[in-house]
Amino acid sequence: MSANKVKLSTSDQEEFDVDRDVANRSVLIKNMLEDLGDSDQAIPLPNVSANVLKKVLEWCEHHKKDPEPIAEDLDDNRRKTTEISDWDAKFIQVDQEMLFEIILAANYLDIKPLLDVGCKTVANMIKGKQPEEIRKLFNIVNDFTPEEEAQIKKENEWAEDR
Amino acid sequence: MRSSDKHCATSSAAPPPPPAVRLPPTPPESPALDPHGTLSPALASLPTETLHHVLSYLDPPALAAVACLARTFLPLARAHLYRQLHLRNNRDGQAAPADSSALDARSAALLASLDRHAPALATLVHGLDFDLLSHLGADDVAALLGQVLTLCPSLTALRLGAGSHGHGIGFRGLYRSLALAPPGAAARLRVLDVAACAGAPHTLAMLLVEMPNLVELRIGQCLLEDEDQAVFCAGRAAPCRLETLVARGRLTPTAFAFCTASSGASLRRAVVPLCDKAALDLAPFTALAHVELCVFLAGAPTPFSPAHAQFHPTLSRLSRNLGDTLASLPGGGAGAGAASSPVVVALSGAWDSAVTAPPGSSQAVDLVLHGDLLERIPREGVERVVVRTELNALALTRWLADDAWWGSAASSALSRMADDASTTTSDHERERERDHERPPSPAGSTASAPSVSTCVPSPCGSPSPPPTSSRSLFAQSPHRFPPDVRHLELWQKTSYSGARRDFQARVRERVDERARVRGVEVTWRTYERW
Repeated sequence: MSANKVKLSTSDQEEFDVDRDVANRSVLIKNMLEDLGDSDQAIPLPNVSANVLKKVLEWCEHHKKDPEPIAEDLDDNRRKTTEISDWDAKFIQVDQEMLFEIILAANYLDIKPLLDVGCKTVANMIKGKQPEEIRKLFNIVNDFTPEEEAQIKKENEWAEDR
Repeated sequence: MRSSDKHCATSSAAPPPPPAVRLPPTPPESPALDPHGTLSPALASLPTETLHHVLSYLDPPALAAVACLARTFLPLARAHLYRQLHLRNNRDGQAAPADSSALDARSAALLASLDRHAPALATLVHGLDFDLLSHLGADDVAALLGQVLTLCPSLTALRLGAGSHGHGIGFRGLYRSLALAPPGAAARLRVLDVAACAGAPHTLAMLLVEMPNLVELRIGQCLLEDEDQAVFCAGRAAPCRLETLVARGRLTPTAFAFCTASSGASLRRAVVPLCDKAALDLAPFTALAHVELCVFLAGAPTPFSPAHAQFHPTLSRLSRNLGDTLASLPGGGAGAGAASSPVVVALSGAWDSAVTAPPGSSQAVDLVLHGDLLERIPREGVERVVVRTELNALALTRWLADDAWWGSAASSALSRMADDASTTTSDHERERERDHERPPSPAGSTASAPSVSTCVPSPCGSPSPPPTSSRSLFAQSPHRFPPDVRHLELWQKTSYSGARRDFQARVRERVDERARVRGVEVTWRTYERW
């Protein structure tokens, strides 16, 4: 195999030949490649299925020339922005199951910018909605009693939009 | 107004009776995300830290909604809602009416809720961000801060904003609040961030003496003198072992020594002003990994133009002090000591605002001097250089072309660069390059593309090579090895002028090209203002 290519093996035993600079977007893979040195061995990714990896690699390919993310020196005074680039917004327009799979894969593969995109997308789905709407959206069962729920609303009343 | 607002407004005036409902406990969180089986499989598959990541993007109204979803979400949302308190008195510049809370409605309701649900909620509070957007008396400030410090036993980080008037809350209010708080409140603080320093510097010194556990200190100006320290602190210095020191304004040498007296082995990040009066001695700080030197022109007139009689002497002193300060870095500078971890050196500061050329004149002189500052960066021990000022291609490319600085690593590309560099050092070529790289003048930046012909020559005439005394310390001896600098982070000011953006694009292109030859990776970033 070419020195510029790496082989990735998914949980469902599919193998992908990927450009090294694309695969290097994943800190996990980058570290594994450094440990392995020049080897033809496929890198096993037991937590990622083929259809999810395909999607993740699409993102990595598009962002392969992005500068290394620099740790943001954000304090809690500034809420983080939930803005997403147009390309990322289109890329992440997937069903909910795939969205969570991408987030899990980004977390496992240690691709922070992709994890950020996924988490921002979920945050944007929550913003501006009432609890009942969010429950319906994410299929969450309300296990509070009405009294408890009223109490929680009361304690957080200060935070509501005004 | 929504009905909830009315509830908020009344809740601060007359707290309701204690809650009858027993809510599920907040800390500690359950290790499993969904112990109650209330989530869809997809959502339940997310690790708790990923959910925290999602919640970190939510504003308080959305977090309040999440808290109501299910038991699983309550502790997560509460942690984000209450970790950092933001207290304000936003009354459109008006003082608080005598019969109401000193805080605005939202802040008052937040404090009332904490009070009602103490300790369940109050123990979640780790930071307080307090800013004044209208006048509040020192007694009110002290009472409020004292109340929060008493109520929140886990509060370890305190930020006091600059206030709408920009002068800050004042150290005196903080000092008095600590007298009202339970004993030990000052000692538990680990982060103190005072955006602007209203008040005498000795009051800050008296505060710091009481904060042995502080690891992060961010202050504005502090003009502490020896007499203050002797009279008000009985000669004592700050006992804290700081890891981060950020000073946004002038620091006297006494203030710097006072704040860092016990931080020799712990200080890792220093953002301090480079004053034209004296160099800083960074030699004692063996753990320093990030040094950011802000250019600060003490008492410079405005505009401080190249035509001003003090312009060149001042910048010459600045340049010398920068060299001396960097040379004092442990393991860096003139090669003293063993190199420790790589040091990040950043130059930032008031160049754009403090160095103001008269309308229509050339900006080339101060840009050349920028370049001189770059040449002062030590070749060894500095892996990453961050330049947070608007530098043009002339300054950067001159530096990148300086073989004396970059060493004589053999490559054909470097030879070409050396030729290029020697050419550009001639007055004629330097003038030509300067004209080529000259940015559009501020006055015409929104209307016209950069044009050489419209620029009036610099009041100082054609730039001559820097005087020997202010040339690079390192240019005088050839280096056999390439420098440690492997990464440049360069910042450009965000511009809404098309001509300016074109110019900046050309700068990026040119600098990238030269940096590539030197084997240095460049990251470009933009800033609106500091």
